[in-house]
Amino acid sequence: MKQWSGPVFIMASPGGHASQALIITERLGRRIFLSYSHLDKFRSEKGVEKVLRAFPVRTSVIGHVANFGLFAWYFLRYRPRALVSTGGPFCLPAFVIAKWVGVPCFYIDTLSRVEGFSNTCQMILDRKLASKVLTQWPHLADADKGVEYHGSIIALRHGGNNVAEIQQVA
Amino acid sequence: MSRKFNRLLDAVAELDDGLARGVVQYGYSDCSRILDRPHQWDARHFMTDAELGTEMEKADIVISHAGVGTILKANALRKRLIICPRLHMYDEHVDDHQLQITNFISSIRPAGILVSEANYKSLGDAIHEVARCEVVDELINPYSIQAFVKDMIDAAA
Repeated sequence: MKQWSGPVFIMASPGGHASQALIITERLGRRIFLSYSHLDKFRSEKGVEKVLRAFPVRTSVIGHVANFGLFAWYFLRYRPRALVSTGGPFCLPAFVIAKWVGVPCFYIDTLSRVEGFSNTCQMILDRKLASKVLTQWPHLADADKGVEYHGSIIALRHGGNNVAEIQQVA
Repeated sequence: MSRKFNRLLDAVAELDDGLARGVVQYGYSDCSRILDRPHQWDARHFMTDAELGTEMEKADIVISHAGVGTILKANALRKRLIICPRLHMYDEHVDDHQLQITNFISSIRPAGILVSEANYKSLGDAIHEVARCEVVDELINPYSIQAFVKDMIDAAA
């Protein structure tokens, strides 16, 4: 199938997931955000082309089913070139769709999980739903599970900025 | 997040009028003691993201649960921050991941960012201590991961 060339879909629950997603994807070009609440947070960000609403899921299977149909429509309508998510679970149907239609999809586990993966991350790993899974903690990188570490949203060492990392990407 | 965080609001309600006053977003927590002190606290159920940002910009110190979103927002504004983790043992969260991130931040000892003691009894002392900090370290350092994600997507396309 020919690779789609539309904007990148960014999916994040409100709160910390959204804050991380907004910062991590800052350098990408055209971005469309998908979330289910606090949509004003995304609309006010520079470089956000559009904000699309999802259904809140919590523990509801119905919410996931409804989102599956909604996300399928969004994929057909906007033809994203990639999908990036920092969680939570409402993103799962989108990863299934992305896998089916061949859109590269990347899951970045939330910074707040210091001692292990989030449930959403674990489900994505178990079902091999993502093209790549990133952790923001070096000690959680696991080659056997296919989880890679390539930096974090915050400085992980005492003294603020990681100068070597900044120089590396400058 | 619909769980209560009454321990923190109780600790805030104990603060002396001369030490602290400002805006409290109480969410689903019991705010009766805060509401009893309207001269000291402007209590809001919820604020929009824009309202929260505006109030944070005006603040000298931000006292917050250990949510990554609030920590990043306060740090982006270079605000002195006191972090109070929600604990699973009090049903304040589904697990103790707020404690994990708090322990990490505590371990790197950033200037201007303080982790409160678990019982919040010393919140007043924490305010005095953090107020003495003249600089706030920059925690946010996303350059490597931003570059990797961009390269990854460009390579996949």
